[in-house]
Amino acid sequence: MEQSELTAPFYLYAIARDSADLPKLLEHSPVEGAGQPFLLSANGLVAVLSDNSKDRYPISRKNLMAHKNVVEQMIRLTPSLPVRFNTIAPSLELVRARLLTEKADELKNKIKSVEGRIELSIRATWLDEAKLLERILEEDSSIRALRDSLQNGAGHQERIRLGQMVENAILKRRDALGAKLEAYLKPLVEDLARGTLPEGVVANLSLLIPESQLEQVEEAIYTFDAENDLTVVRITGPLAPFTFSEMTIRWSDDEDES
Amino acid sequence: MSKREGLEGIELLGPLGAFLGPILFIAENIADQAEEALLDEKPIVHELTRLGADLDAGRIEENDFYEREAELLERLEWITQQKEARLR
Repeated sequence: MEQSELTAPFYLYAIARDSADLPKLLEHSPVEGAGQPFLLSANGLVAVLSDNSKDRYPISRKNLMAHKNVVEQMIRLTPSLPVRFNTIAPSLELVRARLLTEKADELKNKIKSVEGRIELSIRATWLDEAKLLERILEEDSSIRALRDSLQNGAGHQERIRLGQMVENAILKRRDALGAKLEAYLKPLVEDLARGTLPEGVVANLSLLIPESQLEQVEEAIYTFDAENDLTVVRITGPLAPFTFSEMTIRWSDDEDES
Repeated sequence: MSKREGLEGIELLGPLGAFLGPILFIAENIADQAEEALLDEKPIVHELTRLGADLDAGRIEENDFYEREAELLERLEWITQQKEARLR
């Protein structure tokens, strides 16, 4: 494809290490309405871009998935860094000069740091809350005693107190299980990021692991799962290491260059 | 004991989590602004996580999951638009 035939602006998916066997175009569908993703190379690096981009894309499953699919195809081809969703470059010259040239060393080091690594997302959820409650009553005699005393009719205050005791017991159990899961995983991972813990979620982790450790990590999770009948564990991935390597890029001088 | 593999293509928290996650490299030095800019989005990511967990535990159906996810993404989109407008 001749670059002169391309239409600005350009949607940027990823930056990656160049190599002789990379295709010129990627197979995955581009973000909506844009051109087929192509590679722009300079200084041993490539930028993955689509021409004819919109100025921005609304946050939707469809658009996020298009972005993700292109990034993940690229990561299977060569060590790559995902770029943040909705990064639009006004010109190829800007990508070549400001990123692939000015930031070449920084980018190459960053690529080296995620080479051969994958991301897994692990989420443990309470499977059955009725069963959880039953277990807590079984194991905590003071909660059981209070519950039994309430069955003969009790005041509002006692009911609130029982609720709080149960809630605390659930949180305590959640934290203990989360710590146990992390202890299993820690020796196997290179990096670990904790996500938000809404009600019902026991653990929510993003892991950066060497590809060669994938099986051991899965083993550890199966072990945790086998030991805990109150939770269900969901493994998502392998993913591109979005959590650990995604780049945010701003073009400070859009107007001059476009 | 129970385990459910990720449903194909269902998990957005890869690209979305990162979209709201730590920022490691920036062509221009705007890290502080970017961190601050994430405050309003975090409750929505919290909700999206809860929604995913509800699906894992079978508390909601897949169709409902997609429907509620779309609502949350629309809210996220709205917040993003407001912020962009403010910057102009």
